[in-house]
Amino acid sequence: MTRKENQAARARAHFPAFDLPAPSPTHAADALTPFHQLIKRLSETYGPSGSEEAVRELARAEIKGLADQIRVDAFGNLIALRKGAGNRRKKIMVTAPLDEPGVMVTFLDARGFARFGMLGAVKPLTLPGARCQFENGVIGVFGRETRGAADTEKDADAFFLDVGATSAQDAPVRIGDAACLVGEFRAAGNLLCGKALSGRARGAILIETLRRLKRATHDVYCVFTVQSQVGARGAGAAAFALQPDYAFVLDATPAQDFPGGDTNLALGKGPAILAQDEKMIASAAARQVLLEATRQTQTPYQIQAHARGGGEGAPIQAAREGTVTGALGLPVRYLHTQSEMVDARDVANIIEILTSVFAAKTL
Amino acid sequence: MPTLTDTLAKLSAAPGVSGHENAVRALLVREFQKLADTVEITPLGSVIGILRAQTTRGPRAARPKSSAAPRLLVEAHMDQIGLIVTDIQDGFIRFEEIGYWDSRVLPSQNVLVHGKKTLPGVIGARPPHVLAAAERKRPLALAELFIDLGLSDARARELVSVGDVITLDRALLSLQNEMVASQALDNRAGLAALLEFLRHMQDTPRAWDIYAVANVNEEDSPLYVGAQTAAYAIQPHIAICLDVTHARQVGLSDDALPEAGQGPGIARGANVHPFVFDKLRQAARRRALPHQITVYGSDTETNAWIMQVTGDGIPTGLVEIPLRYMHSAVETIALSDIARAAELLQEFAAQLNADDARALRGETFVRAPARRARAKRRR
Ligand SMILES: [Zn+2]
Repeated sequence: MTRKENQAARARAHFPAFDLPAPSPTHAADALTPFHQLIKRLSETYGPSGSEEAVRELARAEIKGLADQIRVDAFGNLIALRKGAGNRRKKIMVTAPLDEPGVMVTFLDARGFARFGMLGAVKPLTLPGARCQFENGVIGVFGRETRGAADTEKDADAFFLDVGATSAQDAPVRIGDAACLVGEFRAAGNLLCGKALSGRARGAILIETLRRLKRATHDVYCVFTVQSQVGARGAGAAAFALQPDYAFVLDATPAQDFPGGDTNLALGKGPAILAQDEKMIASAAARQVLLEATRQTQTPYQIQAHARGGGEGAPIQAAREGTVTGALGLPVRYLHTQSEMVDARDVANIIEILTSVFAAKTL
Repeated sequence: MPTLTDTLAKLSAAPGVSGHENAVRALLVREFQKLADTVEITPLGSVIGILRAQTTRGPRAARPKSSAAPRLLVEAHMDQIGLIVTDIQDGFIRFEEIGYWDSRVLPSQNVLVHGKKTLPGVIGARPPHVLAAAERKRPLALAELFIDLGLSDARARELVSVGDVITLDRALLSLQNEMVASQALDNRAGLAALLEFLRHMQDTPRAWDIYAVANVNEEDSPLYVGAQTAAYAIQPHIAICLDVTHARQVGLSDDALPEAGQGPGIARGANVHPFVFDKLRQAARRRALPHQITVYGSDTETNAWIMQVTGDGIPTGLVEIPLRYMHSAVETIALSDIARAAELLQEFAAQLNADDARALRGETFVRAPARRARAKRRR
């Protein structure tokens, strides 16, 4: 028996009560369109940063037959090339992440409680009472120390994971094991909600764009990146290898169209064309291409000018002699929680825009 | 010949907020075209002017397109800190900073909003009469400031979009004693020195190709993305960064800081290759140029920091113009420091020979003979 199977068996022995509930009939998957079912499957797949295999295999299976070349680089990025037919074709790279935010076990105490570190920008404040799931299926419940200073809400050290163990020895997880958050996928009208949704919806956009794209003018490299949540580690390596003429990053833009929110970005009002993020000012030429595509497709858009969030643009822009890089943000509420929320219309509009860019006569 | 003041006035009047350098770049391309054999622009918008090696004095000869001569890169960043529109509320512009401002100085500034056309505006705030006592004691937060263009909401939305950039409206001011003040002298002072250096090199014999580079995206980018990508493209044997540094001033009297007007700073520390430092100091001494040594334990917070680790590594140096009131609307420098920085680099570039390049590129590395010895043993 491999260690993984062993752990899974122990997990079942320990946690019958922690199993996920069956989806309620009112939200049955068959009420969803095939595309939204794809988003659901991607969202529900395990893939915290550094452990993207399952998501990558799912994505690879989905794009089979849709690309001229498919490969996985040494870093783990999944790269699909759709060749263009234009005689003035450019090399375009588009990225979407495979990974999702999560936690990693850093310490097991004598009673079997786990301490953990964050994989990506998970906010401790959102955790108490929430659940996470390890690769072997083990479920952990987040708890918080009750003694000590009042502002432990900000302090990750005050949080722990209850994996149902009684000692470090019988704990079904080990130091270094990674877990993703647990959050069921739900759809209500245009709103889609679930864990890992901001990233996986963007992955689904790339897949669906490849599926719908009849004829590309340009050589299009769709890059499903690894380790985006922990500082955009995969994207730079891919850009260095591909040397594209243009790179477009599918990013997540925090929408705060809720009580007390403080940005002017909203769900359902179109994707955000980024003027900048925390680490990159978008290249003017790439912004122009995106703006032109919104004009061609008559899709709505917003502009993100706040220097917030560091997406995958910066390392791509800095690769080799420099890459003309733009970013298109999918507006997301409750980013980096188990209930990320996006609007299906924004998702559809990004597909329209990308399709238009890939088929544009000249860039 | 334009005077230094003319050059600096022109450079500081051309807007060039990080990532939005069009206007200042256009100016630099024109200047480089007069002074270099070839002018190139990188994908991100940095401008490279190449002046080929020429060992005899005299008029500009027809020089070859390509060259086997070693490469000296001398760069200055062309971008400046600025502001960016984040929202329009009832015709008033909300904004954020691009780059690291001394935001205490923003209220009451005249600004230019670069929308569909360039619009003058003022940065307003609530008057002191309505402020609580505690509020009067603290500097205003960015969120409390706004720009008044005098426009209605509808007209403002027509002319200005979220994402448009904003600069201060402030021309170069000549003070006494050949000192000048303006916004963006970080790093238009360095650019002026770069152009002056290129002018000096026109009839200076040299064994190395000179790559003069005006880089984008220094102030905003934790990756120094402009300098990194241009240096990667050029793969120089030596890279020199021309930038400004804190000068001694009222309230900042640290003896270790250079003084404006006493000559450029020649930096020393982990970011500076000892060979490059020695050659720079020798050049200054040979020409009897006033200069000051500035010391950095590690990060110089300039493009030199990234260029040093670009490609397979670049021996890097840093020449600095002392500047008072960094990242404010009244950055102040001495013109003589710019002139001397240009002369220093001229002397440095003129003295570089083929042996220097060999010394820096491998042939004298301990590693190479060691490898040969091992190979022999195996045989
Ligand atoms: Zn600066």
